[in-house]
Amino acid sequence: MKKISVIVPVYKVEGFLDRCVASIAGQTYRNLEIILVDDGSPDNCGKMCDAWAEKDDRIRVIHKPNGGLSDARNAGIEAATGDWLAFVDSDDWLDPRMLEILETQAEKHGAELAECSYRNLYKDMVKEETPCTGRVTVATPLQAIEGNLDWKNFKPVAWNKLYRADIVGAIRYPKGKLHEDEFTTHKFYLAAKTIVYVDISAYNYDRRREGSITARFSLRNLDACQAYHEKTNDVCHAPELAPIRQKMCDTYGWTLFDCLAKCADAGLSGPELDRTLADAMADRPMLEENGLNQLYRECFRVLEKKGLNACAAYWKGKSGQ
Amino acid sequence: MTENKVSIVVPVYNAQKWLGYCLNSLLAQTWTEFEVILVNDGSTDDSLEICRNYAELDSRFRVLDVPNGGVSRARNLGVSQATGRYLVFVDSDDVVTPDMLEVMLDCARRTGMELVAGDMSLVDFARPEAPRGLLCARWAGEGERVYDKEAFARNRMRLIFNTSLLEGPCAKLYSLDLWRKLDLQFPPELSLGEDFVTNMQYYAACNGIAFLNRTVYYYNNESQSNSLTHQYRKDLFETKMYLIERLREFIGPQEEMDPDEWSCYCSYVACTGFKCLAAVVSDERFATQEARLEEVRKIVDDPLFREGCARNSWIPDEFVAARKAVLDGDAEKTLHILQTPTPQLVQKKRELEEKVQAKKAGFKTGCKHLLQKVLYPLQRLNRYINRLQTQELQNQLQNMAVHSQKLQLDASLSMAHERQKADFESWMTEVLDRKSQEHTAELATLQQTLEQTLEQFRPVLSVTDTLEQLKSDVEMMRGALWNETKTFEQQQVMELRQKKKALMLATAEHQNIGDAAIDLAEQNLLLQYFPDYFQVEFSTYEMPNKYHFLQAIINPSDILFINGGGNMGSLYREEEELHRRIVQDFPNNKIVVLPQTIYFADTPEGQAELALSARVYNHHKDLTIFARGRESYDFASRHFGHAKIKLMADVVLALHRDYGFDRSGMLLCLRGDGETVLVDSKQQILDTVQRFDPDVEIRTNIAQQDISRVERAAVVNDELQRYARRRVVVTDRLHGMIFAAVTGTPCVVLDNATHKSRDFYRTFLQDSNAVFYIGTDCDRLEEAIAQALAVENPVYGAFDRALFADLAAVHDSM
Repeated sequence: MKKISVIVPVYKVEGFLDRCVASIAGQTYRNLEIILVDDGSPDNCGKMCDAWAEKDDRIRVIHKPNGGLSDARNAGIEAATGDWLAFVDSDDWLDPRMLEILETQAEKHGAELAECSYRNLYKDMVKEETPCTGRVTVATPLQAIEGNLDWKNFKPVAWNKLYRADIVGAIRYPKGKLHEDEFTTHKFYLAAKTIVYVDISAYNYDRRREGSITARFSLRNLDACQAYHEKTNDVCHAPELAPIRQKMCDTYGWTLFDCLAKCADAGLSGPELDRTLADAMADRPMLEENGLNQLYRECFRVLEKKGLNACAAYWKGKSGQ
Repeated sequence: MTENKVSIVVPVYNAQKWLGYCLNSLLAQTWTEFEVILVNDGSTDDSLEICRNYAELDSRFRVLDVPNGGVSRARNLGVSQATGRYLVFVDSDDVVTPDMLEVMLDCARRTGMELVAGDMSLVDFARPEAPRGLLCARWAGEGERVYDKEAFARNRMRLIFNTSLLEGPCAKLYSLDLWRKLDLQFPPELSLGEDFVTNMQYYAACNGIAFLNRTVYYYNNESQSNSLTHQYRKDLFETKMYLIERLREFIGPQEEMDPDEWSCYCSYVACTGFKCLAAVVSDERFATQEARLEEVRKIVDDPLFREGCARNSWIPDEFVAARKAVLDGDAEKTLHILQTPTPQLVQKKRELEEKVQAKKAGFKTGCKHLLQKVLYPLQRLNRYINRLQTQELQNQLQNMAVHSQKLQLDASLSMAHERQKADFESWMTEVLDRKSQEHTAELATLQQTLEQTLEQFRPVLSVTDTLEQLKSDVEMMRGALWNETKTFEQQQVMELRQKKKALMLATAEHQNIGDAAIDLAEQNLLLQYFPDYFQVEFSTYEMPNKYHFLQAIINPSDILFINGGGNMGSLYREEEELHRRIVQDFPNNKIVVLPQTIYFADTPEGQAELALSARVYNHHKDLTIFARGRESYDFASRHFGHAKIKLMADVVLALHRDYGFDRSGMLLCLRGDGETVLVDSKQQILDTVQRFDPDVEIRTNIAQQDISRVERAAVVNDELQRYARRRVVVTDRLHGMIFAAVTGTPCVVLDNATHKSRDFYRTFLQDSNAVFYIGTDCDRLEEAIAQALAVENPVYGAFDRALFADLAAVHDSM
């Protein structure tokens, strides 16, 4: 029986941690190594982790100074010794058979990556991300990345997946960035040969704590543009991904101009914005060469000729926002 | 291992929409020792494939595939294959909580009861945020409630009637051993209540029942409301009565029952019967009234039903009126009563209609605003293009003229030149004609499209949907227009920034004719006193959307004129906020507030507003405020001392002219807004005036619709002509008095809340022989009217340039 390392970054989640760890410890798949990464949490979380380690010898705790979600996941990756890796966010939890089902299907189809759908928990309702059919889809990296772009089956999130340890290699999460999984997911797909998608909801994504952080647009949200900048460059330079280049470029275009318009609206400026603009202008020939949609080409033209505010106004008029 | 295994039987029939949702909730169970027996009952959609997918993923799921034979056969087959100790039924379009098995098992083991029932929540899965209701065990008593065999026997009618939980098979944990021992089968021949019949057999045998006070099951209201179960069926009543006979057998003879239990039984029967009656009454498939009556008679004549009605049983309010007719065995009367809407229903219907009306009204306003958003830019675009073209052509003509002078020196070429000039002029006329036709056509098409869109939604029942549709249509049109407008606006900005401008800000485009008159007079005065300035107007409606545009076109040589009137102060807070914003945002421009009545209420809010305004106005380095009366002048000097304060009459006086109409009768113009102080004396005023002129013309100075700047001149002139045809005007409106003054009509003036009429009268018209100011003293009205009628040669004073000479000073100071 192969060993699965489950990596749980822990930071200020006193009220949720037990629910999360209990759901991992109670998995029907028993051969686990549970790594709780206490990311310098200032509350009782560190002690709670230690208490769990006392109770269950499959649980290990890493205490480290605070470095953010990505940094904590990376620390977990370094420490992991399992044949498979999984990430669970500490305010979420797993259905009892999630790991067993993913491991079984991955082995059965010789896949290096396996993932499933999830449930969203809101304040007054539960909503499954997609209507499920239980179907198993076996895909190539090309199909998986296309699935991300179409928001169909495969999702660019870290925690609905089982990763075979040997594909992780040097891939790490970008420290201090928002949208850290947008930077990383496609790299995992590209490192794999075969990816399995199991169409069931088995991960519970608690969105009740989200609102306050994500509500207001700030320069940090430009990390999404940086993620797409890197991802688009990767996709455009991988020969096997040629069929989805145009779709990738258009998705980048949408994200870029949407973020720029929000910056203009909020009157934000700073090095992050300058960098986003510089990246975008450098990417422009590549995007246009790969068939970028007319709308985004026009946005680029307005941006170049008349500046950010005119571009934002143009975008809003065209995209109907 | 099999000690506590649960068998879950799920009959599946055409459930692809929600099946995954259901099966995920079973897969997520925290109690993992279970089997799921999926019985596909001949589904014609993808249900079978979905079942097989889950069975492939998890060996605890099994699939049985049978030809369609109804839910009872499917459940019986599932039970026959079950291997667990406990039995649970789940329907394929419902969802259970992840801890359902855990909490029910825990309860069964703790209490030793052979039946555990949880609560069931009704939810519309298509709109999960709005739960519909709860079937719950709370009626069995607070908290977890255990009824052993005897207690259950004593209370079963009460529990059946009050909890609504005991008829169906879901949200329950049965003992499979007991089920097998009793050899229970759901009767396939029953199309309704089959589960209740089987449940009663189980209840009679089990050792007791435990109610969990906790929701474990979500019943999908969305899929149920689409199914046929809600329509009346021919055999509905017979089937219900069959069930009641079984119920009667189950509860035993009346003599052995507790009176409360018996009354619960009667209520159950009565409610069931009346629900059938209601279904008969509302079912539209009865061909004739006779057929319907036949069905009603069948129900009314039923002895079991009448027995239920006869006791003091509880029935819903809407049926109380029909109870006596049923007891009299009078089918016709029963039908008649049930077909007559109850007052509650009528009230409900009226409330609904009112809601629809309110929605429609809101919708209309919404449309109007959207239309304004689309039409204004287009009209402006149109006018601007015309103006640009005219100017350009005029320039070309001028060049042409210079050129032609040179040519005239050469006599031999003069003939050719004449021809050339004529050709050019005709060409120019042609171009102008064509352009103007093009734009008119464009405008007409747009208007037509909008009217068609408006037409489409009128007959449609669902107001909200259409509103959304219309909004998105207009949004789409707006998107198309947006680009065009934007490019045009950028050109316009470049053009306008170069010009020396007189900007009219916050002008009115609402329904008040007095305000429209102010705007019109201001337009004229600015043309007269600032002929070398290019006039640009921004109405209050436009200000929010066009503010960035205003900021873009302004240069330091521009003068900003804030619209005059009676809106400076705390009465119209939004206007005052706008004034402050303008003064604050343009510190380097000359700003002129055209004649205003200034009024800040003596309340904490009013004084707070005043403090804010004083800070902003006193901070500007070149602000001139014209006060429309002595009181406003004194007030402004006191509080806004840093600005230049000057006295100036209401600009509408500039509209003075001699109409020369024959005069007859009277005109009464009273306000109906928050500024009136004559609420109680309105009738008295009207009576008094009618003694002099029974056919007095009544005006309010408020138009039916918003007055756009295009219609402004026409509306104002029409109103002034009405005044010019009357002998005397009675009014409490400032502009009622001013309209009388500019048309040379004698008038009687009453006061208003801000005293602006009094102030204006005292400052500018006190010397006139034609104005009779009586404050709020309506008893003096009769005498004043008589005096006004007696005026032969009204003198209002000189409305000449001197009144507005300070505007010339403003111009010269630039």
